[in-house]
Amino acid sequence: MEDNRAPETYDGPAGMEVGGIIESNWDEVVDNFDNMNLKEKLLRGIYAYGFEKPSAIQQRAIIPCIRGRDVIAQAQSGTGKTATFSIAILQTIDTDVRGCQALVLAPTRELATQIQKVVVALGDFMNAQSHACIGGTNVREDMRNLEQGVHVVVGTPGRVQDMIQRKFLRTADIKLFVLDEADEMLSRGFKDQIQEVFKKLPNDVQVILLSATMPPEVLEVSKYFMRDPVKILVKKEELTLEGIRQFYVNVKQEQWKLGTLCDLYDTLSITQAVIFCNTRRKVDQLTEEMTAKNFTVSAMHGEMDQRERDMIMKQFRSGSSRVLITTDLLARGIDVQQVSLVINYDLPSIRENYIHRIGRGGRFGRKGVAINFITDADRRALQELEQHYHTTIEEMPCNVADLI
Amino acid sequence: MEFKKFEVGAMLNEVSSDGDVSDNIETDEGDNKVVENTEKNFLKKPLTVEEHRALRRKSKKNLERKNSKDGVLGVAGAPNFVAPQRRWKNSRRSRNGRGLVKKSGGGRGNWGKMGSELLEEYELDEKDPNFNDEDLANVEFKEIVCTTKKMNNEEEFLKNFEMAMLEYFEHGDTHEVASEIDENMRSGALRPLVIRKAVEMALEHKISHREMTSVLLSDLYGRCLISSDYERGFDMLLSNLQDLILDTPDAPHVVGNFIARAVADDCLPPKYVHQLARNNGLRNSPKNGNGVENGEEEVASASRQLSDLAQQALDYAEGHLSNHNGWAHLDNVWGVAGGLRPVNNITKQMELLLKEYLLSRDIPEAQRCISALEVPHFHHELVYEAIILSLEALNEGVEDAMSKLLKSLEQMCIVTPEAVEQGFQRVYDDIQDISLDIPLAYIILERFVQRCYNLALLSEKMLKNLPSRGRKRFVSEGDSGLVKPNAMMFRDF
Repeated sequence: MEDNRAPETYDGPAGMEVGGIIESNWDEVVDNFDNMNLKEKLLRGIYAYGFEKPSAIQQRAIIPCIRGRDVIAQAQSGTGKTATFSIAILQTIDTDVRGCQALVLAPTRELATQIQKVVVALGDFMNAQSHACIGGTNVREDMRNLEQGVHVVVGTPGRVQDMIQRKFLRTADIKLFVLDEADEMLSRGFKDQIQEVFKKLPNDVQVILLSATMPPEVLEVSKYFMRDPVKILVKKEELTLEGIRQFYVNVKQEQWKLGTLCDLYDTLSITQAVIFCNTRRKVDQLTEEMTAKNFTVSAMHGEMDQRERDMIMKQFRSGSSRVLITTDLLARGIDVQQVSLVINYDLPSIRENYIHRIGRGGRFGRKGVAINFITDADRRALQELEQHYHTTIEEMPCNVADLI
Repeated sequence: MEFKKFEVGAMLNEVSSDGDVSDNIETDEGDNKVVENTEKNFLKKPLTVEEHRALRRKSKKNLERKNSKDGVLGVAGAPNFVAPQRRWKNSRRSRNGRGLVKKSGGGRGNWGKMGSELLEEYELDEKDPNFNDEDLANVEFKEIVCTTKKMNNEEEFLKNFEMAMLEYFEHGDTHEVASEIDENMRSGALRPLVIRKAVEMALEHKISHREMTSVLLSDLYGRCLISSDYERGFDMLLSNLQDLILDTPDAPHVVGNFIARAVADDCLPPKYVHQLARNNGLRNSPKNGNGVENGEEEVASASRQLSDLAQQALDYAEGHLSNHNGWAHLDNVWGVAGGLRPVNNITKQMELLLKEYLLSRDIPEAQRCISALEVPHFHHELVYEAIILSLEALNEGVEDAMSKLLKSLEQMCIVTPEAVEQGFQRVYDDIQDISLDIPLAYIILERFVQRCYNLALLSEKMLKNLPSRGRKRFVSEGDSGLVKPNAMMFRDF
C-alpha cells in the first residue's frame, strides 16, 4: 500500500540504463513488447492500455514468467509490477477453458480491485474473465461469478481461503499462483492464510512472488513455495528530483494565488503544465475561476468516472489541452514524465507526495521545472520539504520562461 | 411558538443578570486591591497620574483573567468570590461536560456551527423539573418524502464518502471531509455509516492513515456526528468483525484501538466499553448473581450480542482505558510515524532507533522501525545519522554494527542505493564542520567508507570522492620559525 500508482504508471524508458543496480540470475532482457512472443490479442490490449515500452522490471521478468519458471521480482512501487504478472497470466491462460487458471493474492481489497481492473483492461481483446473477491455484501455476487468460471481470481489471502473452504472456488485448474506485495501481506499477518491456500493448489503450480522490499520473512516464504526461482531485484529509486529546477513564489496570501497563476499563464501554455491542488473542491473552484477569466484549462473532477478521466488524459497527451488541474489522488496514473512544468498551487500536506507530483523516472529523464506557490504560513512547510528531500527550492526568477 | 419565544427571552435576561452579578463582585474586589495598593504606596510617596493609570490597567487585567480556570480559586483552593458551580446554578448551561471548551466546530459547551443544534441529542426526561407536557403538544411533524430508495441512497453516499476518504488520506484536511459529508448526507440514518466506512477503510491502509482516521473521527464529533452515531457505528463494526478479519487478520486489535481512541477523544462515553464488556462477561460467567442489579443495563444491551472477536476488540479497548497513567498514551496509539510529522521529529526518531540498535544489535527490529516511519524519501537522513553516530563513537565495534545495518537495509531494499549515496555525500559535504567537534573524523570516515565499500554497499565512485583533509602546515614542520616572527610583528603593530 506504499503507493498505489503501481498499476497505472508507465515507467517509460526509465530504468533502461540501470547499470549495476540490478541483481539477477537471469540475463535475458527484452526491451520491446513486440519481441516477447505474446499473443496477438494480448499485445493489442497492452498497447491499447497505453504502454509503449516495457519498464525495467517488465523487460526482465515477463519472459521467465511466461516460460513457466518460478520468479521472485523486487522493484519499487509504481514500476509496473502489476502489469508484469498480468501480462504473464494472460499469456499463459487458455480462455476457451472455463475455470480459474490463475490466482492472485494481494494485501488489501483495494489493491485486489485495482489488479483485477488491470487484468480486465489488458485482456480486453482476449475475452479474459477476471474477478476480485471483495466479500461484505458482495459475497453472493462473488459466488455467482466464481461459479460461472472466471479465468483469473484476485483477493486477499483470508478471503480466498474462505472461498476455497466454502467450495466456491475450484483450485484444480490453477496453473499460476501470484503473491503481489508479499512483504505487505506478511506484515499484515497473512502468513498462515497464504500457506493454507498454497496447500490447496495443485502440486505443479507456478509461483510468482513480487515485493517492494525483501525482508527475511519473504525469503523464507519463497524457500517454502518455490523451486529454483529466478530472482530479479531492481533496487533503483523510481523517482528522482535530479535535473528538476524547483522554485517557489511567495504570494503572501491564499487569495493572491489566483492572480499569480493568471500572470504565469502565458508561460505555462508555451509548454504543457500540470497544476496540483490539495482538494477536489479547490480543483473545481480554480477551474471555474480560470475559465471565467477566459483562460483555457482542463481539469480532472472528482465526479468524473474513469471513462471521462481517460478522455481528459487523452486530450492532454495529444496536446489539444495544455494546462491540466488535478489533485494527488486523481493524478494517479497521469504520465507526468512528458510534462516539463508542474505547479504546486498548494504545497502537498504529506511530504512524501511531493516527489510523486514533480519527480520523474530515470537518470536521463527530461529536464523539468516545478513552481511552488506558498503563503507566509507555508514557509515552514517549504523548509521542511527542502530538508526531507535534501534539495534546494529557490525563489522564482523573472526569466522562468527561458528555463522551460 | 410564543411560549417558546418568551422562554428564550427569560433565559437571556437571566444570563445577563447572572453575568452582571459576578461582574460586580469582581469589580469590587479589583477596587479593593487598588485601594490596598495605593495605601501601601501612599506611605512612601504620592502617585503620579500615570502611575495611577498603570495601576488601574493592571488591576483591570487581573479582572479580565478572573474567568479563567486558575483565576477562580484562591489560596488553598478556597474560592475567591463565587465558586463557578454556584454561579452556574441557575444558568441553563449543560452540566454534563467537563467545563472545557470543545474542539472547534461545535459540541457540548459552546455554540457550535450554525444549525448544529438540530444535531444535538435531545432526550425527554420525565423526571426533569422543567419537563413540560405541553412541549410535546407543541411539536409539529413535517412530512418528508424520500425520492430515492433507501438502498440507492446508502450506496451512493458510501461511494462518495469513500472517494472523500481517499482524498483525505492525501491532503489531511478534516474540514473538507466534513463539508463533503454535509453535501451528500440525505438522511440521519446514514450517519453511523460514516464511522463504519471510515474505520473499514483505515483497516486497509497504512498506520499513518489510521492515525488520520482517528483524527477525522474526533473532528467530526459535533460537526456532523453525535455520540449515538459513534455507538451505532462501532456496534456495526463489532458485529461485522467476523467478515473484516478475513481481509485484515488483526482487525479486532485495530478496532479496539479505534474505540479506545474515540473514548479518549470524548466521542464515545467510557460506559460504552465498560458496559458492553462487563455485560458480556456476566452473560458468559456461570454465576449470574450480580446480573440482578444490572438487570436494567442488561436489557438495554441485550440486543448487542457479542461474538468472541468483538469481545477481543473490547478487551483491547478496555485494556487501554484502564491504564492508570491516564489516556494520554492513546494519542500515540498508532505510533509516532508518518509524513505528517515535522522533519525534526522524524530525525529524532531515527536517532533513537539507531541508538537502540547499538544497544540491542537487533537488525530485524531496526528494519521494522524504519519501515514503520513511512518516509522512504527521507532515508538519506538515516544513513547520515548512522555515519555521524559511528564517527562519534570512536569504536570499531560500532562502525561494524552500523555498516552491517546499512548493508542489510540495502539488501532488503528498504533503503535504496540512491539514499545511501546521498547520505554519504551529505557527510562528505559536512565533514569540515564535523571535524571541528570530532578531530579524528577524517580518519574514521575513511575507515568506515572502506568498510562499506568492502561490503559492496558503496560504489567505487563514492570511495574516490572521499574528502581528505587538506594538509595544514604547522611551524614545526620545517618552516624553521620564518612564519612566526611575521605574525608576531603583525600583532605588535
